[in-house]
Amino acid sequence: MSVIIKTREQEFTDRGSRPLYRIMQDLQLSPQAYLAVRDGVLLTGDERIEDGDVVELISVVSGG
Amino acid sequence: MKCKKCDQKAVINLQHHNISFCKEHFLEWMRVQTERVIQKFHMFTKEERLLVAVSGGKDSLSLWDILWQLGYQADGLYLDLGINDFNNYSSDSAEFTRRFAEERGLQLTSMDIKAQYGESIPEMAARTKRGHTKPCSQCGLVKRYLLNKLALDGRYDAIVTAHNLDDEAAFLFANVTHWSLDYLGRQYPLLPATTGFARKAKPFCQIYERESAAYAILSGINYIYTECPYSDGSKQLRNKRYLNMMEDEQPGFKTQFYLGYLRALKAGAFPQQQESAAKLEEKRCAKCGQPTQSDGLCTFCRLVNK
Repeated sequence: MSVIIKTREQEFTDRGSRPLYRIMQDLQLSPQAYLAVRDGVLLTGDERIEDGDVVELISVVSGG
Repeated sequence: MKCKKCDQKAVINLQHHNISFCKEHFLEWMRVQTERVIQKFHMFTKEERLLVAVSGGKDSLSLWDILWQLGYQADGLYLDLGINDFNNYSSDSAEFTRRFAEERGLQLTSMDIKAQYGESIPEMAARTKRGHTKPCSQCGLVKRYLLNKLALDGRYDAIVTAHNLDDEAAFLFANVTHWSLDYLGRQYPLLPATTGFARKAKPFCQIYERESAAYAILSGINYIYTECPYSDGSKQLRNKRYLNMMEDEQPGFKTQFYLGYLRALKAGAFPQQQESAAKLEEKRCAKCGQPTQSDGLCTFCRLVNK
């Protein structure tokens, strides 16, 4: 089993069963640049991501 | 992680403030913070008429929602830039904005730039030397000019834009790295009205971009998630990335950087906006009558007249 982490541009698979902030650290994604949503609910970085979860990372950075 | 106020499960953690909130208390905190900034900088009052620049994005719709909830007389202005070449960026953002206003019964003025001036922003920019590959500077010029003109024509007391702390910190970073003293003297959250120019206020100047997005998501505001296709690879996005790296290392870095600048500005470290405005009052555009630094036509009239 694994978890799926989706951003606007990419999709990653992770082993899960650990806090969100750890997964983001490993993927080198800044917590400043994303909000995480699972089943329509916003997640804080300490939330444990378990096998089978799908987490969407919503980019919050805009401008040009 | 628990909400600081009610002990319920938190949905957001604000590391730079060292607090976490549940949905209800975060939305309340956002309204309180926005009101605090409005009061701190004496931006405007509830008796005044405001024109909010709305793009259909998270920041402008969140700000408009908060101003409405706080009881301010805030109308919206949407400029349709005609950017539909790579995706339906302008058409989609117009639709998000229209629906938002309709759902809340808010007054929205829309201007289609192509219908008004015969060309979209990318078409206008394509005729210029600097804008034929990327229309961003022409886009900025047109938006600033029309926002000001429509605010003056509509007799609004102030223009309100949703520049957030990340925007302000990124502009500041760019201006510091180039030592652009003129710009450094103008980045105050409130620019008072001067001859030919409406008052401008930025009530989100101390709100992180992440907080503004969280407000939109938690309030159920549907906003355009797609980015302007021309923003890809922009210097502003690059600077935001650098600043976020600093923020990850040192929570509160962006706030310190920006608030430190405001203190330096207040202490007289940079030339003030009034001095720049005084220079502008000497000349007027031969076509539209707006103050300008050039002889003959102003930059906007030269662009749309070609």
